[in-house]
Amino acid sequence: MHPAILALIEGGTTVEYGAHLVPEMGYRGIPEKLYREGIVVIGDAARFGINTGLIIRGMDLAMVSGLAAARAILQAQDTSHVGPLYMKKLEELLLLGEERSYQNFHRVFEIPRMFREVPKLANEAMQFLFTVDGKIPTPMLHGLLNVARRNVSLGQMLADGWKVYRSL
Amino acid sequence: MSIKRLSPEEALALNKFAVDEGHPHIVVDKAICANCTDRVCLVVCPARLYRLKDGQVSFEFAGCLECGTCRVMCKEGGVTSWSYPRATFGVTYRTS
Repeated sequence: MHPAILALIEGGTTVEYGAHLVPEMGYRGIPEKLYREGIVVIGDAARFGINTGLIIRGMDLAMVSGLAAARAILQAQDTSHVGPLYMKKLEELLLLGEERSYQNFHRVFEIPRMFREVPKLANEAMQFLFTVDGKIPTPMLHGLLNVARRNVSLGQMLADGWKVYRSL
Repeated sequence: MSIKRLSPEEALALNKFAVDEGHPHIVVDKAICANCTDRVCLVVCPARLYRLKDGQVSFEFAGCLECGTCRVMCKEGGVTSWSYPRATFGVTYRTS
């Protein structure tokens, strides 16, 4: 347990144990309708999540959407107003805007090479760059190109690079 | 500072499960698992329901948290079918 978290739950007891996959599709994965009379869908249930490959967000979006729901419920004159007001609050709190700004990101993870060849390429490139073994080193650019070619073809690299560029 | 760290068994005992006897919601083909060398299911399942018994992968669906990790991580197709339990069955989350 991280010490920062431990301090917050010190002395607590576990009441339940759960596990769950994180919705990673971002904006495109959010259901078309997030409310019905008597119900608003927030957080993970609404598939609010952003995976940039570097950070996976969800807890912050859960809190913000909870806040949006609470404000909508408190301010609504009538139960039928809650839903539309909730959507308005989600916009005002910038949650949907944030989701929209990453809306094509999931396409990066559709490239199967992102999980095998690309990390291997990065590792091998680092190994090449940081190896000092007393031999005459291969010129850097040449060595890096060798590492790249060992893992992905030039055509794949260009196609994947283009897809990533288009998705960011 | 302290908070008690629970074993998977202790943690699972806190949950409420309605086990649908005779209707496993996850089906595992042991013939496929026999040829699998990675067997990531043994380490990824948060409920530790995949275990090694006499060198064979054994699976127990009661106690499943319905997270879907095995479905995603199984590489050889040993998890031949994965669905949520029938209505009213499965894990009952009361606080989350």
